[in-house]
Amino acid sequence: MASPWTPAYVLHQRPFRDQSVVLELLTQDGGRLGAVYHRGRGRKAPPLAFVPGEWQLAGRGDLRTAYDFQSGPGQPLTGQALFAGLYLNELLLRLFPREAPVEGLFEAYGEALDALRLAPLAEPVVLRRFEWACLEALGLAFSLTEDGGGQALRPGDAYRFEPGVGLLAAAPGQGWAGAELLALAEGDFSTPALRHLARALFAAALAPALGGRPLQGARFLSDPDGGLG
Amino acid sequence: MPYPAPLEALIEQLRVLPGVGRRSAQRMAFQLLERDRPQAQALAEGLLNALEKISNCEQCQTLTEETVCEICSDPGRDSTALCIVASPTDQWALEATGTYRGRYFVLHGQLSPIDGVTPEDLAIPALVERLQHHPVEEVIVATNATVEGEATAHYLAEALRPLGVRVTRLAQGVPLGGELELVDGGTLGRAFAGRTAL
Repeated sequence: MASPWTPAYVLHQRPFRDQSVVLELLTQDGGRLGAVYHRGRGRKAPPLAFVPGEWQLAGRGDLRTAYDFQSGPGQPLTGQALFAGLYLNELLLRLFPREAPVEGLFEAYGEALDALRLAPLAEPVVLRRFEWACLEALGLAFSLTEDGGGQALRPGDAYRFEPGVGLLAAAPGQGWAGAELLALAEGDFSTPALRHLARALFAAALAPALGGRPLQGARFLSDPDGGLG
Repeated sequence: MPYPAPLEALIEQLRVLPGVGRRSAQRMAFQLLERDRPQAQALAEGLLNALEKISNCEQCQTLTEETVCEICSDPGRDSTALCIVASPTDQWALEATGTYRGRYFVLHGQLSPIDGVTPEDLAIPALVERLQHHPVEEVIVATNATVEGEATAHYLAEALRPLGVRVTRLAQGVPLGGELELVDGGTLGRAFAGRTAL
């Protein structure tokens, strides 16, 4: 009996033996999976990253066997959007281990890719929203309306971030303005200052999960300061 | 019982070859040592000889026995066009078509941030310097139709923009002899975008 088709994106592929590739997949229900795909004579090349597809996978454990696929609609990313997409993929590969299903991550990734295709200039906002989705998926998200002690943020006060705790009152003249944090909580990325704040805040929140190593793809973003490099 | 140390070392060294795992490396090592010692000697000499005599062309970075390779030193080649390829094997594949008479530049890899391959790991700074000193009319980017090839092409286009040189990319689309219904959507999309007038 044929195995069911598994919706998945290819995040990365690398050569394996003479005629095979190891695929890093992001699947809808199973999180990240590794799979070997044999591309011998007459077999089609696996789809490029960023194109949705459905895969027939066999086996268990760390490395499945991928034996067929169908590409879905959607063009590969090109130009500057391609580098933003590679940044997303590097985030996923660095933050999430194989075989650990994460609810909502597949959908958040698909939405980010669609946004990059439609509006490449919105790149910083797309990346920040996806970083926040990663924080939620990792259980590292924190309140942007209350401080770590459960008190509502006050627009006139300043706050700093403490990993594992959330926002805490900052010393006078330091930290981020409460008013800007509250704007961010409303999804407001409309000014460069808010985008800069979001980048610094999410970078601080993701830093423990990234183990202190910068993301290589950050330097290729349209705003080189726009990623966790 | 462990293998003698020199045999174990040989097996490990054979594993650096693409597609060779430990089992294949063992079979190769035993073949050479047990059944074909003269060939093993010839292989070792061939390897040393190639290592000693083959290096990178100082102009295009391809593999050559000379300081400057045959193509770079051929006055009959079109010096207004420079074709950028990822590897010498790509260069030889293009040469085999006989359709291109310009010169080449070999990057020895493609950009891949996820794998940690940066412009500095490739020969991109050397390429920019070469074009500053020896301008051409057209740079043809012939990297693979993969994510890494596309990333390399886009990065090159941006890096070369200040030089004002025309940068083109190899066309992508339906393969010769291919049937449309068997071509994937991404390739068809590219073919549509790059359609030409009849």
